[in-house]
Amino acid sequence: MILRALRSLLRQPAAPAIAVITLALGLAISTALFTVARDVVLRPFPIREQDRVAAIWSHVPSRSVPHLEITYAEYELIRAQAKSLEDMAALSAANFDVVMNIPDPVQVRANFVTRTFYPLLGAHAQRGRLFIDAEHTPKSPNSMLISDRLWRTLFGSRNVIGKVIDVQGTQCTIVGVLPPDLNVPAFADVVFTMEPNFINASEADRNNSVLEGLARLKPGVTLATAQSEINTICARLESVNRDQYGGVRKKLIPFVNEVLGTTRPAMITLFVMSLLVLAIATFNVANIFVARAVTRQRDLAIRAALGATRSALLRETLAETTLVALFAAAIGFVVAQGAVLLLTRVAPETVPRIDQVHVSLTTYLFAAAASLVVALLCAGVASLRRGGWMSLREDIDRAHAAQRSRKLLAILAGVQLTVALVLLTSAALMMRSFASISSIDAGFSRERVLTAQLPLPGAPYSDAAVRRRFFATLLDRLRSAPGVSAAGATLIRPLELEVGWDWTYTAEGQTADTQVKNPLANLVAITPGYLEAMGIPLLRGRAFNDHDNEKSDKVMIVGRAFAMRHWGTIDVVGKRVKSGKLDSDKPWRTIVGVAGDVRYRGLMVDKLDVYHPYTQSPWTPQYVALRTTVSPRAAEATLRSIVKSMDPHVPVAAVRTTEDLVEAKIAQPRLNAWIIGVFAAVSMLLSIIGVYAVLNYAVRNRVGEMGVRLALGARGNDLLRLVLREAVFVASGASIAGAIASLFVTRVLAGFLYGVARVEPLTLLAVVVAIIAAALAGSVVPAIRASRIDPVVALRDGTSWR
Amino acid sequence: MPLIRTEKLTKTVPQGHGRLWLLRDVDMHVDEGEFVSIMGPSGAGKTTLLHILGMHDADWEGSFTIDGTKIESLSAKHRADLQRRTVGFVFQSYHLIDDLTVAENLDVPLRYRDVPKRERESIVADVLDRFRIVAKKDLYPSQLSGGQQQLVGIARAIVSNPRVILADEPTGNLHSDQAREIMELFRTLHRGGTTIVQVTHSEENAAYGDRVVRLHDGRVVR
Ligand SMILES: Nc1ncnc2c1ncn2[C@@H]1O[C@H](COP(=O)(O)OP(=O)(O)OP(=O)(O)O)[C@@H](O)[C@H]1O
Ligand SMILES: [Mg+2]
Repeated sequence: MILRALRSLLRQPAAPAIAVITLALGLAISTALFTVARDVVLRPFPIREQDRVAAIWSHVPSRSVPHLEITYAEYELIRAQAKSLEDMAALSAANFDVVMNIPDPVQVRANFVTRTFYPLLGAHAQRGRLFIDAEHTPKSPNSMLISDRLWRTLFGSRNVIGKVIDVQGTQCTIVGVLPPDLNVPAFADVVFTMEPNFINASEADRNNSVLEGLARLKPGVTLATAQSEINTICARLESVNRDQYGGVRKKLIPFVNEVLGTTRPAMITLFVMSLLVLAIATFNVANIFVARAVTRQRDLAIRAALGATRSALLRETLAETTLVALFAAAIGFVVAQGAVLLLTRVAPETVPRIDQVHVSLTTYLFAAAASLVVALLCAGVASLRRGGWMSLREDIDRAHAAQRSRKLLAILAGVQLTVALVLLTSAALMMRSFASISSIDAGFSRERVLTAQLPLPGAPYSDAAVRRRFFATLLDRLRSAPGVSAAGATLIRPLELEVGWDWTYTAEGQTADTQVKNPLANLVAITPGYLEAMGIPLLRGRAFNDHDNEKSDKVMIVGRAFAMRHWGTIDVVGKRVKSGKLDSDKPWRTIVGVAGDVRYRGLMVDKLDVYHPYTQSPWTPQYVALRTTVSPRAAEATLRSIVKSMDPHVPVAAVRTTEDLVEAKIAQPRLNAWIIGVFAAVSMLLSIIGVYAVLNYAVRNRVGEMGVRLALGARGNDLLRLVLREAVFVASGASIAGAIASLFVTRVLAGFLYGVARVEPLTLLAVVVAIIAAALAGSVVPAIRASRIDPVVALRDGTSWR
Repeated sequence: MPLIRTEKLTKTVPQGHGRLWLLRDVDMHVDEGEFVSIMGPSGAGKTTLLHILGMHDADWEGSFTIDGTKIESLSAKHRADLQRRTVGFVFQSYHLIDDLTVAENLDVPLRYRDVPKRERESIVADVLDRFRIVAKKDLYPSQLSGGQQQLVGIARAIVSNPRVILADEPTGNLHSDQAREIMELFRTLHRGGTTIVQVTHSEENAAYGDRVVRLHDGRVVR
């Protein structure tokens, strides 16, 4: 049976070969992308009933500040009062860096969590245990949990439970290893308990907005119900303490959205697209088999007349289809593995769980089986059609059946082109969006600037004066080092985190009414030399210098947008601004310079920039920036050796060129563009094959007709046109359908498009042209074949036609 | 001068190591306005000869002239032009185009002759009228009887006003009543001055013509 099917396939290998390639390609690409989508989005987190978990953030409606951290005090208050919540927990909204000495200093990302945190999630330790209640008290014995990643990389999967490690001078015990797929707190490698930092802390610390809240709703409670209860609590807090809680609201966000963020719609789109590509591939295979079945109808009819039963004939078709599917599945599996490997390589690290993506055999087999069933159905239906092999006698019926199949095939080809068009439009939009993202001017130089984080370990540097002295000395030595033309330090470097220091301020001359409308500015504390090192242009006034110190007049530099917003000009040197609201007693700061705007929080995040000299701020710098005359990578060694000579316990961490900083932000949009681009390319290819299969079939089916036309005076070119016209007809239909569908799809995509109108007529036009070109490409071979038909042969064979 | 003349017309096709002779030294002529029937047993080469006369087939030896023009010395393009100007073809199994209506089928040869649309419409209307099939003009071939289809087939052959109609067993698939009707039509056309060459198996049909050319094993027998 199988052997006979194989022999039959090999007798006319072209069509089956195309079917195998098509299906393999379709299966590989769609399962690869489906797998990514599933492992990142659809697979549940290892969290008990994750639908009932929500994140809690603050926001200030009057200032349209979407995402503010909550305070420890609020955590305690809401937890005590909210009846719709089963429990509430908190973690640090941003990871903080700690240095572990094992014994060389290693900087890792850390977070801390409340006692309620792991019970709320329903998580379990992979090794050892989670925290016990005693560790969530002010007298905590300094325990910590480590991530699976850290355990594997830093500790080589050895037994580390009970191991004591020096963390910035404090001896901490590892009590457990977290499960590999629990990425909350996201990307933290070390987790501590939170309570020791807050329970006996000052009011100021307890009211510091640094936390993210998590809530588990009681069973049966909806998000809306919980939200309205929390609104009530907020209103009550506001009436008790206007100063602290005036205008502050809380909002609940489903946990899944919170973790996946913008990745979710992207991944869902991916998922839908993978289904579409698989559908195209399957249509193609069905097409090929329908064509095959129809061209063999006469053959089958004769065999049926000779006594073959219906089921025997059907079995034969099915055996062939199955064989093709098996080949395709085997090849496709290998390609899918490769594709997933490639995808996880190009994906940015910030895509959650991207490291856990792998093609599961069951998924793959499911996809293979699904497409096989569809292909079989189509082929089976085609070969069993009444008027098919049943009517050897009835010529007219057969001619009609062939004509109907041709229409069916043309529709299938049209559907493929439509899908390809939609994907192509999406890809074009994504690529244009990517182009506009990568052309954003981040505001600093991308060449020859090296930055690094220098987290000063706690003990010897607990005094701010010592820390400042360290940086002053370091910068002096760097400036005189070979290959360095400028050096500076900053509290936070651009594009490092999406969070930063938000500054509430009052510009001189503002009234209470106008002050309230001030956005929160992005505050950066910097040393002299920072702007120059980063290549941030100074538009007016002067940069900071060593005379701007604790004792001198308070000064600041503002970004261009800040100046424009408040004074409508950049000639604002001499204007004054102070911290806080109108009635704050903070001293006025005089603007001494205006700098170019910098995208600190993200390439697409527009904020007003404000710089304070670090000597006049409570902070010390964290990052150094070097402008180099050599390649920035070569300056890294210089930096390391100078730091080491000053203090071998200070780690030089997160070394990045400014190019790297920008690159990290472009990675995600580039991945998006790539993925959709690959989709579009594959679907284009598949639809070219589809059009080819359909027209090739049509031509073969119409050889007799072509012969008659030639006898009636047609030229080769007339027949060529006849075939191309069919292709253009199908493509035009697909273009109209695709253009309409594109409007909807691009609306879905709008969320992650930047600097691109939703549907640009020019883009659409280009895509339509591409689709028609694809249809023509697919029809070239059949058309040429038609134009070369020999009328004598056609008319002779054509007697079997009709 | 005869309209069609062949001398030592020979066609062979490769077979195995040697060649298979389909036509051998065929000498025949058809005068302008003549109605000639080609007869012979199955496999004699009648269809082969008709395709050569219809200039679909250019792969032969010997000499073949139409109106004094040597076909063997024409380029493919000129041969095709000459074909469009002189020949109308009628097929045994009608070979109407399924997707097209009766009127559209009649339009096909005119299109390939680059006749302007206006003119095509009036010619088609005229022919529909002459063949009394105006009522059928919007029907598809599958909606017609065999005899009606062949009627359309002949109408299609004469629509471009050819000097000669070549018909390969035009009544082979028809009942005798319908066959008679078709032959009457040929007679009418013939009386109107059209040159006709038909292939037929039936003496009755041959009797409608002026003269019979008998073919046997690729040779003309007298
Ligand atoms: N291209 C070809 N290659 C090989 N053999 C051919 C070719 N064309 C025709 N023949 C053979 O030549 C012979 C003559 O064929 P042709 O169709 O001309 O016969 P015919 O007289 O029209 O017969 P019928 O009355 O059955 O229609 C047949 O035996 C046919 O099989
Ligand atoms: Mg014949």
